[in-house]
Amino acid sequence: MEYLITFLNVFFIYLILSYSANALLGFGGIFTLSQAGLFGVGAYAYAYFSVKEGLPFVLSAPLAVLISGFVALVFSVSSLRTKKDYIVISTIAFQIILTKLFFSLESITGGPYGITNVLEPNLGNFRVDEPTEYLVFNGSFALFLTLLMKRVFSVPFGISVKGFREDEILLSSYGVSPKWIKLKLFTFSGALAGVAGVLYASYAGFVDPTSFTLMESVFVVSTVLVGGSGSVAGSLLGTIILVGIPELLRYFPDVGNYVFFLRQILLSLLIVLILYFRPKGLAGDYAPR
Amino acid sequence: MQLFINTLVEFSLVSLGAIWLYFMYALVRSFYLAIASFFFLGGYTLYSFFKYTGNLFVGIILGGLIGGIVALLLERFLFKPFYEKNSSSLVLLMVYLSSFLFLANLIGLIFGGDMKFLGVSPKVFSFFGANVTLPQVILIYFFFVFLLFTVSIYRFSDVGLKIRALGQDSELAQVFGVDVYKFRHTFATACGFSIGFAGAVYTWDIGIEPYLSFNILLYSMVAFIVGGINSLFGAVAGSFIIAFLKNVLSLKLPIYFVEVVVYSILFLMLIFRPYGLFGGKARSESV
Repeated sequence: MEYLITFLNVFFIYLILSYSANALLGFGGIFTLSQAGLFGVGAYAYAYFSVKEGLPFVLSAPLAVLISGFVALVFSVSSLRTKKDYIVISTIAFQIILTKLFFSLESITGGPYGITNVLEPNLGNFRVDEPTEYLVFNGSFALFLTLLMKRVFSVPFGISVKGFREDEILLSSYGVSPKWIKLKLFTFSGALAGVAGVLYASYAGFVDPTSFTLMESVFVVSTVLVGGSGSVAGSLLGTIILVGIPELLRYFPDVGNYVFFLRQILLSLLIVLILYFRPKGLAGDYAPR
Repeated sequence: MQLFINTLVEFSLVSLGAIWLYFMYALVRSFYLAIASFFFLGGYTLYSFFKYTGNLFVGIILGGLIGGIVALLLERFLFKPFYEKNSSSLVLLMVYLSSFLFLANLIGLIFGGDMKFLGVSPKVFSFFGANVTLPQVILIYFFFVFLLFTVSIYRFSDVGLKIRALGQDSELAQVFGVDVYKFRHTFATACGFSIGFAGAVYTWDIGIEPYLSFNILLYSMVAFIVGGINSLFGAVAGSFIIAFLKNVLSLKLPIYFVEVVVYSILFLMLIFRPYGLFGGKARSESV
């Protein structure tokens, strides 16, 4: 039972991360490999404010989300001039820069050792410190953000985003600025990744740079590609498959020791198969191009 | 002098990757990240062969051959179906990345994820006060022979003309009888061999671990873009700039900051000059 609760907590955090990638890739058609970096920004910001500055959760968490959203906004401003094929390379560069900064800014991030003793969420007299309490806490955020995703991408903004994805020029002829759509999308995606970062940091109790690498970004994007681009159900399905199956492998004693490698092998096979046979993903609305 | 030697060694390695990225970009119009696989495959081939036979030089050649064979197999059976579907450059990029992930983790499953060493110290030469190892000398010689051969073929042969034609307009080149798949297979095989060879030599000198080759490939990609993606000279010049900058900055800054600077240059280049230092502006706009 304890293992199931741990799994579900991890699942909820990755689901939110998948939403952040889906917002850009699936709904916006912008291929990104920097979600892990923004995830790290949120996690480190929360850890820094709560541990080093002693701020309570109600201040440090929103600040962390704002900072990751802002960092994403700054990146998106710089990417306005970047052509489509190069955006993915610029996101790779951005991801690597963030990872290296996590390693090098020792006074803020703790360097390779990270930040430990990150405080659990503390809402007045209520402190989240039991696994079941985390389950309810993380699950509530996941549910709220699921509803938010569905809402955001069904109102006029979401329709503009789909227009942006399909044909920027046609969209601008209707008086909608593609640049503003891009800026808002990146900020929204960054904020979502920041939320996942806060939940991760508070749940794990520590943050270190090895959790926010390029390969982690590849994994997050894969949940979108496999589950389905451009649909909330796609992120849900992709996260269930890519987080769930490797965890099931742990039950096999001989296989359990090699879960990390098997997870990556499974991931790469799924990506290739999905991209060839079902480019929209299992429950998607859009085929990345 | 040591700075010069270190820069030369790094330049040789990075430039080899950048040149192949240039050729494969001309052929497939995407960043050929599969190159990273050939590097560590060459290294692990040497590691395994040396462990059982103790023969270094045959192991290095075998490393190149395995790199070439795997490259051909990947091209023929994994990448070709995507080319036939006219998959976009981003889809191809994910397929190349996935092939790397698959092979890297397969190797990790077989050999473990830790760094592997041959356990034999290479001969070290002293050159005007600077130290250089025998594998480094081999790598430098190999690269310059490769560069000479490549430039000769590219500039003065029919093959080079066809490569340039494919890079400009692959559909029109095919109409004129250029077999794009044959070119892709041939070049991928040659790429796999040379990168596998370099990987084996590198393993002899330093050691090998699957994700190490991806880090090296990323430097090649930075050099390729900084130099200009539609310029062979740009790929070489970009590699020199990156190798020189990295080694000079390493004297003053910690390694993580050096990497922040290098990738920041790439980032700024993509924003302000995406066609690179030596690439043509009109050409990149058509891309």
